[in-house]
Amino acid sequence: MKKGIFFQFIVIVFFLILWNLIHVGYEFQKNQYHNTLSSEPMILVSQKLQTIQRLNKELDSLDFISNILIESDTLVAQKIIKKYSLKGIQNILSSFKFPNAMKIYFHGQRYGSSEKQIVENKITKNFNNIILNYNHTLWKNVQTKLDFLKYVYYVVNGLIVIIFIILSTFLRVHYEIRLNKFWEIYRSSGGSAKIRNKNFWINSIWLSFIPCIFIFATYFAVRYFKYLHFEISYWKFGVEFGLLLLIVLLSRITLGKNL
Amino acid sequence: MLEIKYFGIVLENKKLLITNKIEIGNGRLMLLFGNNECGKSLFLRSIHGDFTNYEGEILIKEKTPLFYKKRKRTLLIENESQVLPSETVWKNIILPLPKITKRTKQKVLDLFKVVELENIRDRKVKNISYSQKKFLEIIRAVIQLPYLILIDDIDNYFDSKNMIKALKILEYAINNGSTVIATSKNRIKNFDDYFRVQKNKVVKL
Repeated sequence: MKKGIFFQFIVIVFFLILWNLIHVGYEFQKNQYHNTLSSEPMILVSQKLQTIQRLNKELDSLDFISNILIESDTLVAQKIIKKYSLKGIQNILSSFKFPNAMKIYFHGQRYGSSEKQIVENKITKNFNNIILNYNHTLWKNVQTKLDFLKYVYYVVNGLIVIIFIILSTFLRVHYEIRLNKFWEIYRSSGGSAKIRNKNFWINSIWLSFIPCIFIFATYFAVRYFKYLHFEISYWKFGVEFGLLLLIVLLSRITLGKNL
Repeated sequence: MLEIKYFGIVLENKKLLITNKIEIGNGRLMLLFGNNECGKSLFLRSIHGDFTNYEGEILIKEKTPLFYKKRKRTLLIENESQVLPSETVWKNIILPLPKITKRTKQKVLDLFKVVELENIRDRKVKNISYSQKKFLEIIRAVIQLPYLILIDDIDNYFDSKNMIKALKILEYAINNGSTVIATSKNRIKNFDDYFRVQKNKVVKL
């Protein structure tokens, strides 16, 4: 492989690594926010255990709910006794009627505003004697942060794509134009006129397929050895490969009859 | 092999190198000589297919010059050397060859001996003389055995001793059926056919 092609290969691999690190960073941060949502339960309190159980049945089918815990009045009493070491007044406490509680844990990544609306509608419309306790401020803050993160992610991706296209196309065209004199001498000395074009496409394989395979293999290795706990969607690799093909095409069009 | 009919180079209302007919067979060594600016280089470029502003017809084995130019069956060695200065003599020689057989390698080495280039085959071309560059180009053309080898100003960088060496190299191509057409300002010995440019007309001697 020629020095010029090797240099371009390094630049492309560097850009792909950088781009995938941005994907990983985005997934990591998104995961953090989703975990915050997942660990924050919605607590519902009702005097009637039946109401809680009925609600449980209704919510059971919703796929964005990860877990539902029901704590009956006796369990609540036991917990209070245990937590505050109130064994001495166990008899007095057991004579009290404690409410029943229900904790709903959500899948953070699926719990958006429409899902939140569904749950709240189900509770307020059909079960008006239930007290709902949820940290709405936290949920709203997380949603705002998620929206901002998504926005930044798209902007950064857009910038990377633009810089990548401009830089790689420029490097490729510059490299080929620098070789004009060589090919002129090659042809005038009797060399085949088709070789330059063939050479261009062979170099294109080096600069599109090989970096993509390299990055994809690295990703799998890192996942296999469990250094990376987040998945990067396959379509993102597809986009990267597509962009490299676009760069090859742009370079070919720009070079025109030079080849 | 080469047939030129009713030929004339058209250049700014002037007509140069007018000829009714030139016929050159296979394995011939032809020299066209004449003064500066009489159209010798354009004549070679017309046969090579680079210059098309001429009247008449040029046929190489009954095909147009462009046909053989594309197939690299006609090679033009111009006055200005077409070599890679940063590469070695050897690299420049093998540059157009798709593969180098033992026979080709041996032939190149033999031709190197004729022109005493064997000791400088690994030297970079920027460090060799103009006559050595010209030898390099001739050897490079000869080993490809094209139908036609066109050499502009063949004696430009050569003294009489080197001219004999150059003709010896060309002999290899001629013996293998190639035809060599060279131009010069003066008549040079040992060519098969001589044509002279006189008052814009080509005269066979």
